[in-house]
Amino acid sequence: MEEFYKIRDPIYGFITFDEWEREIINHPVFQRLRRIRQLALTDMVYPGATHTRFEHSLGVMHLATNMYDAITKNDKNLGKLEGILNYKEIGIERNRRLIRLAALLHDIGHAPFSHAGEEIMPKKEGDVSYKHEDYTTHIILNELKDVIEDHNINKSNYKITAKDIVILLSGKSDDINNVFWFPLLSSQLDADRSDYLLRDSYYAGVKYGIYDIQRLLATLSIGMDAETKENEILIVIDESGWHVAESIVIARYQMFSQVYFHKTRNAFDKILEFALKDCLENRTLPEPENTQEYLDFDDFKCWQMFKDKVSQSEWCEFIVNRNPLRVVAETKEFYGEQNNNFEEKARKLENAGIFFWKDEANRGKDWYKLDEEIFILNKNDKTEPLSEYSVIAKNLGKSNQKRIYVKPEDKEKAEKLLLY
Amino acid sequence: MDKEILNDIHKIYYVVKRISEKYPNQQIGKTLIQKLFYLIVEKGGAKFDYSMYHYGPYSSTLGSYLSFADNMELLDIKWVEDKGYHISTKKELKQEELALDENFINSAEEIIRNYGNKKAIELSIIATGFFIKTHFKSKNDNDIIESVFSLKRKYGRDKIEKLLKETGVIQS
Repeated sequence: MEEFYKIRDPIYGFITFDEWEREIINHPVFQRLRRIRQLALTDMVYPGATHTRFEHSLGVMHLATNMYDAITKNDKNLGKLEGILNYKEIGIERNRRLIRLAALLHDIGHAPFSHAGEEIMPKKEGDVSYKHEDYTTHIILNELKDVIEDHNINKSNYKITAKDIVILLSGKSDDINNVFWFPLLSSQLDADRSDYLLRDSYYAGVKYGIYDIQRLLATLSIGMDAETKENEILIVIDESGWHVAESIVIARYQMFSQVYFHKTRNAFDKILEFALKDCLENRTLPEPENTQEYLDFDDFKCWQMFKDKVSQSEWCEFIVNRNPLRVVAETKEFYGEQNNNFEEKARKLENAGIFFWKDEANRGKDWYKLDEEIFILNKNDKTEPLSEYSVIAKNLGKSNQKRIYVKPEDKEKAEKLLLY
Repeated sequence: MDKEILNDIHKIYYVVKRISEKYPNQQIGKTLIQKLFYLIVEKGGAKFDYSMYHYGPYSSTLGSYLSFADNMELLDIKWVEDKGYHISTKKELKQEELALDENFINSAEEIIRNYGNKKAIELSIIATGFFIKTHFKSKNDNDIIESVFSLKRKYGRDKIEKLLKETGVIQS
């Protein structure tokens, strides 16, 4: 008889997994995620935010499973999937297992300090750098291949390959069976974002990312796209649940302004980039092909490097002694270009030879995407964007806030210079 | 804003502007822009990372930039019931303000000329066909038809085959 295990989780209560998944979780490559903080140095601002990619990954597996079950256990949704896509495999356990594994491993390639570490990844071609997804692919196909493919539960039931997982995570497939559930892992309503809003709120000790997860699961549905004259399927929220969709949009916005774009948190992301460059040979992480060398890097190792270099690198010193870059100029969260002299301030600092860093909310490279619409299935079985229901969603713009930071020792000088 | 991102947003603006000039009755929705840009990327005129969703190739970065263009009031994005998004230009930007490279303009013009008046579902089928052809080189023409059909079953196999032939995705 198959044995199940449970882990206590502060967001969902218990997360359950079987012997096969347990072996993957126990693999040293997965255990490394315990040593990679979810939000880098956010604990410099919110001391409770010390959670890691480990518990987030378990949470995404749990939530993606619940989302899948919520959709496939609804007869109306099943009818649509089977009727339109001829999707015979719908509802079978193999897809469920494949989604669980892809969700569990979706962040396996993260660099130390999560997204902050991405800034020091080597160049792939031209100006394009590797992303953590490139490392995820290499790690799953090489380091985790055996533990995924050779377990008896898999061999006798599902025959899921490491490649199947990579395909679902990357969306590079020509087979509907492989990509249909991709939106559960990457979309405006995916398990990744849905988990990190709740989890980051919990650990940071804020309430901004909290929404009614049970209502979300109860109203997840399948709808047809209007632009393609109902030829294509979307994962949507039933009209009765549009308020939960609205609360997710508000949660994303609030978490962005209060946590992810917090001035000190962002200062430390920039400091991390410089400090890591100071500590690394060639000022960059190893390429994905050097998997073992890459996997040796985690937050613990980097912290030791910062401590070792503290007297040689001011960036390492800023981290070890919590001495962030200081904001000397900033705009409001929403401002009109014509009403500010922000660029002039930057020019003044440049002319005075003072080191500065310009940060902006609208920089466009961020992992916390605020922009994609959530779709609602109305009573006539048509899909409409949430902004057709919610005045808040319709009018909630994207912050274009900008900030100028200087080194701590230059703060006074810079402030005086910018007074006139 | 990062110069490269602004340049990509200007590329989106340019494509919306040129389609509305060339095909005034065309509904410029998000699907149309996503799939046209996939074809421009295939031509080497732009660099957006596309993944394959069940509704065809899609770039979340391009999706974000469309919203940026809306926030910057370069584009106006409206929803029309039962029809979907209608995207139009809002500000008038001159060619020199856009600062677009010749390679992009040539690719975009060719794609707009060949595909700019297609319906969203047709473009979705064409872009999906090209995605399969590019990423799965071992696939023959029949495999491509079957793969696209598995993703767009409602459109019908024969119509898919005809469209893929007409647009040069597979040989006629």
